[in-house]
Amino acid sequence: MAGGRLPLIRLAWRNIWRNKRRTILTVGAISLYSFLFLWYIWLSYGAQEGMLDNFARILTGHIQIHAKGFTDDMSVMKRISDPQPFISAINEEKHVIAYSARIKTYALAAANENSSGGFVLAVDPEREKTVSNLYLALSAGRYLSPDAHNEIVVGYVLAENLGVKVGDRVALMVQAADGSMGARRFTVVGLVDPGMVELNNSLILMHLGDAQALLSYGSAVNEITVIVDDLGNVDRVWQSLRGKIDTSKYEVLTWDEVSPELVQLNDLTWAKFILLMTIFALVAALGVMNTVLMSTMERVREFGIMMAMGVRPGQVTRLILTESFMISLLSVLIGFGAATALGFITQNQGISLKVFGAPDYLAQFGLGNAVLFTKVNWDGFIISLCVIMGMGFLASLYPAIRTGRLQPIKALKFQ
Amino acid sequence: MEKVVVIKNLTKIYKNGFEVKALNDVTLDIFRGDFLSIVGPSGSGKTTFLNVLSGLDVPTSGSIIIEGHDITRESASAVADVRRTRLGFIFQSFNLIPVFSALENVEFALILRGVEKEERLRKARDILLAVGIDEQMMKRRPHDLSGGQQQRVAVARAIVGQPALILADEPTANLDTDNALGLLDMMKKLNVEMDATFIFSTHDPRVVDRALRRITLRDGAVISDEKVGS
Repeated sequence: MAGGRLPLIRLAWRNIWRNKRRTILTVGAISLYSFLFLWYIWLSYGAQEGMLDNFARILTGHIQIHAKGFTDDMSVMKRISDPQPFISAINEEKHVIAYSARIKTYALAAANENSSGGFVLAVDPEREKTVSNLYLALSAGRYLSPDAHNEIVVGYVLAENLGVKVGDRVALMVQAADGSMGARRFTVVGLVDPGMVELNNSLILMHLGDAQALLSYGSAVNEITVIVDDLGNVDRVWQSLRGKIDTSKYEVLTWDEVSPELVQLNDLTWAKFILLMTIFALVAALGVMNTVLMSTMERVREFGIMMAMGVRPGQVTRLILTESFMISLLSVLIGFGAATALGFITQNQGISLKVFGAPDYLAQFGLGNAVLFTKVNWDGFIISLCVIMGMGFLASLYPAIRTGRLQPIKALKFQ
Repeated sequence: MEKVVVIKNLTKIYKNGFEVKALNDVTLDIFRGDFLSIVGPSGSGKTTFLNVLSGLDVPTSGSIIIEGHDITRESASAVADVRRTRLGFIFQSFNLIPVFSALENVEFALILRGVEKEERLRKARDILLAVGIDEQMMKRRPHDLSGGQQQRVAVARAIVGQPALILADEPTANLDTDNALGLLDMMKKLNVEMDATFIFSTHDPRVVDRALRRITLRDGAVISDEKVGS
């Protein structure tokens, strides 16, 4: 005696339009929530990628190769004596779009009567331009010459601390690879403001040849940085390089291994997003539950009639869930439509956050340009769809089950 | 005669601080083709009897067997199945589904029985025409129909699935005399032509006069069960 199926769609659709004003208000509220949720999730994806790309394009790259243990202590003893075989291996990778051999070390910088610790980044100036945007962050002077001429470009805060400006000379002291102390005077040819507080305070950019001489390095380097065409290909290239490189002597690291703090920052960003959206979801869920409860309370007697006609309790529950599903679906169509339209606009044009007075704050997170872009993707769409439809379902579950459990006789007598 | 319903020792006690015996050890058989009125003063148990008989309310003790199904021992879903396949209801206040047209209200009863679309539309139209609802009225929703028209649609909905038993609780209470008599004539016709079994609870002498069998309740007990017409 299974009987026929309730005309759920027809009945539910007509039921939700009985009280047009209430349905429009509910759909409006959930549409707004759907719009905010999807657009914000795309903005978070975009901000995440922008932040990671900024970091990669300033300092870390996507993949780094060092002598084993270099990341732990940045010891000048841990070097790549002959970078050429590594460069050959990198050149074989089709997803690699750029690489740069570097030397990184710490130095004591002194000028006038001031001194400060500095972070030395020695590069081939022209090649470095393909992996890093530091050359675009000049705030005064010029970038390094193509050849080694004892020139340095320094973070503008470090310059202030040392009391130097473009054209002044700074003495640098480092520990050399042979155990001696290397010291030399360099001319400041430019100041940079890369939008990262730590680099502003300590960066000393110099020619690779000058550093090799200062550190008694010969032709050695201590880092090769690689840029990949897409973040999604980083692991693939990393795996491939690990297969070609003797990992007992060298380390091949991805950006998240090099900068775990970046991963934490990223996780924190997502945690904040989830917290915010959960609060939104609870508010929206209460709205849906209220609407469904009101709507079912008004029709208790009608449900009694349906039950008297032989509609099963489960069918009544399904009818209410279908009504809620329709309200959620309608809201999602409107909200997601608007979010997609805006998402594509902000993906192409970005949103300048300067109007919110945020550049200094954002500089700490590698977003010195203060422009955020959305990233329209299926992941965000599917997550948002599941969250909003799931929220609608859960919010209507209680009223639906409660109504399904009504005793027909009590429902028929309900006033 | 074929027994449609067998009722044995049916008792219903309401407990609201104090006990009220709404039905008191009722035992009776209902036969196919009965046109039966349940009469008695207010509070005699007429409505309770119909509610329990239809499985809408649960008896305190006793059994009700409708075409072999003891609805006092089955689950809520199974009782719903019995109502859907074997019972039809005519309520005092019509109780049509407001978002459906007259035709859809009748069709709904057939949808629940799993009747195919073409067949159910044909049956719904035929039965509505038979109770005096024309094609124009069929398209209207309940609030666009008069009380008499709504009750006719309710009757059509109750009988369209050819249930074994049609229960009507004060079916003429909200109708004027013309509509009430028209409704009774129509139900009598269906009783004769379709061999449909009708049970009415009523105060209305117009209904009582048309019944073929009359059961009188007092304080929840059957005090008389008599054949009153042919």
